[in-house]
Amino acid sequence: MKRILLIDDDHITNMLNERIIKYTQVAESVHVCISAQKALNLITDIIDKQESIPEVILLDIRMPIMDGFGFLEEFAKIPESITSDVKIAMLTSSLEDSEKDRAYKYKNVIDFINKPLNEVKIREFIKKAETTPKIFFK
Amino acid sequence: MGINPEDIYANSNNLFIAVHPDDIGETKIIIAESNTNVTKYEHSFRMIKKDGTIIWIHAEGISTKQADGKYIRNGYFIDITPTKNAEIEIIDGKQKYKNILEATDEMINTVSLKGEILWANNAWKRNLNYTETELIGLKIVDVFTDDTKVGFEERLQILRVGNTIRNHSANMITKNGEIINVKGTIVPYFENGKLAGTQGFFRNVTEIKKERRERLKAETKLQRTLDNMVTGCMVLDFNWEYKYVNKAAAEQAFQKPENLIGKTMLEMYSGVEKSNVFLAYKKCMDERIPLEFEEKYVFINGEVKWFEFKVDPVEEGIFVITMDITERKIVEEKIKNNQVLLYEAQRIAKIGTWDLDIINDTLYWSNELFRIFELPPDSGIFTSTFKNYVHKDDVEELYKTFANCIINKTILDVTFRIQLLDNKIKYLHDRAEIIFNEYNEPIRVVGTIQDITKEKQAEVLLQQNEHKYQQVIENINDGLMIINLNANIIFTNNKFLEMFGLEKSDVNKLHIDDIISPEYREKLSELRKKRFAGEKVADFFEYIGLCKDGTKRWFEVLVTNTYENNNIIGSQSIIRDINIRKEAEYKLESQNFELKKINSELDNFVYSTSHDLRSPLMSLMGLIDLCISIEDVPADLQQYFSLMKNCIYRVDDTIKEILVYSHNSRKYIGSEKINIKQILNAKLENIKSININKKIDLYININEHIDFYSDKQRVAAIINCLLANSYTYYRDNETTPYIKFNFSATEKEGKIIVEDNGEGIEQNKIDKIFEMFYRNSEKSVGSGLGLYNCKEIVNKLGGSIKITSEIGKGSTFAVCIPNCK
Repeated sequence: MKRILLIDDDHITNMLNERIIKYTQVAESVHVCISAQKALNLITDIIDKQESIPEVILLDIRMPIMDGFGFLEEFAKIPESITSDVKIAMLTSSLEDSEKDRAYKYKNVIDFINKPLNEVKIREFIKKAETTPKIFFK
Repeated sequence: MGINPEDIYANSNNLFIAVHPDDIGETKIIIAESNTNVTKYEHSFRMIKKDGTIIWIHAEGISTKQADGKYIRNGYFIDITPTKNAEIEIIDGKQKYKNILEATDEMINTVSLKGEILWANNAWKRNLNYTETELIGLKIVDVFTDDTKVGFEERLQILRVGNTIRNHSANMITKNGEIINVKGTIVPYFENGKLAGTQGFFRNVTEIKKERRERLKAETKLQRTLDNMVTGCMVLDFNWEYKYVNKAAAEQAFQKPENLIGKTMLEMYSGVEKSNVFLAYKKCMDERIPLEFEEKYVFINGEVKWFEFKVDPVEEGIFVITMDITERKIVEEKIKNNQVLLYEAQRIAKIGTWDLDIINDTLYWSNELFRIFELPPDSGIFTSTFKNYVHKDDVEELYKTFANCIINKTILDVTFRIQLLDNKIKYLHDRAEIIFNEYNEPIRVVGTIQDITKEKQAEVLLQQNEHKYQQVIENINDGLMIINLNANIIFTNNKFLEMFGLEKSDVNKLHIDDIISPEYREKLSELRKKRFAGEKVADFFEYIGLCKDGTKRWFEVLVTNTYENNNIIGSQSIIRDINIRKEAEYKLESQNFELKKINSELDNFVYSTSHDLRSPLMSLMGLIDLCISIEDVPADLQQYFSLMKNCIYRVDDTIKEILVYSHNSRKYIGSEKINIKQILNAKLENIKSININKKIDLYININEHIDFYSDKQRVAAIINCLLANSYTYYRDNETTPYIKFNFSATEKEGKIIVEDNGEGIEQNKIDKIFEMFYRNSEKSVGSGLGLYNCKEIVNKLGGSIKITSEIGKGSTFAVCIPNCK
């Protein structure tokens, strides 16, 4: 079972997504962050505590202050030994292919999910995450 | 007498009519005397007969006085003509001899037996300077010199016995003491049979002797001269015998004079009578005419010599002068060869020579000069006719120049035109020197004339061309500049000056840095150094130039090196003011930047808007899904939720189409390898999720043997549009609805064919379906932008879209997109 981190600035979306994940019982736990910066702080805290960070991250792209790409940029700075087990799915209402391409450049990004999230989409993603090997070389 | 007796009776004076006019005066005087004195008269006079003959009359008579005072003459006339004539003859004869004796140059005298001079003629007096009185009575022996006195007695003895002494030479002393040589004969003379004295007939031979002595002396000298002369001299007599041969003449024949003299030519040289030389000698000998000729001799030793012969007839035979002219001949030959070369050179160079003798007004032209004037050689030319050939516009100038040359004693150097008979015009260059005599009078002019027509024509052409180029250079809109290796500007056209606000006078002291903005100087100097070193450097560049008033402008320059004899001597630049263009470029750049910014902002706006619009929509969708998933939801609520979802899809659809439209109209067209299968799957996933209730069979055929390159997003939009369209317009009553997707690519294009068995489109509406916001069917749930966007994208990619459709049967969309491989 995975621990899932949801990063989205929209409360309704977070509420919905949390419910769907819990409902589908694909995750051990769900943690929600309302901004990218808060998520980064959380991760830093976890690392500081020398605990393991969540294995799955659902990341919104459009967020104020720091957007999804900003988060990815900072996340890439974390040592690979810590992040190699983490799989990221971009969760967005954007239809821009360019954003998809841009996101895939980060080695931890393995999927791109169009909003709204539903049972089918989350199951497929979790399946994909479990089957994807540790991310060292991309 | 032809006088009537009656006339004489009437008046005796009438007799005087017939008296010779020379005698009439005397006769009248005698008659008058006789009358006066009443004496007898006796008188001879001449009378003229009526036929003109003259007769002598001897008249004797006496006059007696009558009582009436008249005189009566009684007398007679005798015709004494024969007597008188004889008398005159004797007197004349004596006088004649005397005259002869006195006039002759022969010294004649008579000497008495005592040796005294009795008589001597004028010649004696003249030669010895004595007067007659001094000579008469002088002893003959006293005029002799001492050596002549020797043998005087013996000679006298010879004479006494009556013999004549002939060819006697004697020396006499003149009164002045000079000695004269005389030569002559002495004869005895007799009177009444007795020896009375001697008569001498001498000739003064002093001069002759002197002459002879001189001649002898001269002859000896001449002989010696002849002997020693380089010129050969010889005398041949009529028998061809060598009478005289000088050393030179002998040596010319490899002989000695003594071996030749006395021999004949025929003896010495057998077969000589057939030679040209002999024949010439013979001609002179026979015809007695002087001859001159030259002859070549080839000697046995192989030596070749030329001789000049001058043959003169002389008393003894012929006199021959031979001169070795081999040297001269060689020189002449050389000159001749040189002359040929000169003529040839003149012909080739079209140079003619002329020679004007001013004093005699004769003009000589070389053959080439005649050729230049296109006249037959030796056709004759005169100063007067020459003028006719000179072009009428040049005559005055030419003669003025010539006159100035004479005045200033300078060399004539002039170019003028001539007009030939056929009106052809030639340009001639004339260079001549005027020769003056000691009184500074021009006497002769020697000159050369060169035909420079071709050069002149070329020059004229060149001038015209130069003028043309000049015009081009001045009229082109580009600045031209030439610099030397020191980068000093040495030439510019007016445009250049205009560009930099310079004056023509500024150019002389202008360095290239003066027209370059400081920030470019180092860079351009570097380039220039390399270029002058022959390195290949940028020859076309832009730089900021510096005008005279300090303003800076952008210029574009094309530079090429200039060469002289393959050496780089500088460079030339074509300069164009590109300030306006540059400004425009800047403007464009900034405008572009602005535009990009606007575009980007717009893009951002659309993106943000679409995202911001969709986010809540998607949240709403999620919430509805949540509602539906709640257990025990009443059936009617279930239906309402479903309708809500449809509404949300429609809004979302419209947002998406707007995004596509915005994207297509603003985004650059990219080119990348297209993975059709990937795109198709992504789009199908999306479409299927919307049309979840529609069971449509999909037949996909993708041929990817040839790589297809295009704009990925746009291609994806096309595929999405076509598939969505087919899904939307499926027929409910169709038992086996299908969509066939077909893709194939060639090197030229990619072809997408989407075929369905859906509703189909009415023929008359096919064109309308691509219109913006056109919705053909009540089934249409979209924005009415789908096919419009599709068509726009295809157009943007330079492709085409084709529809075949039948209402109630289905439609086929065929899209062709160029392969941008």
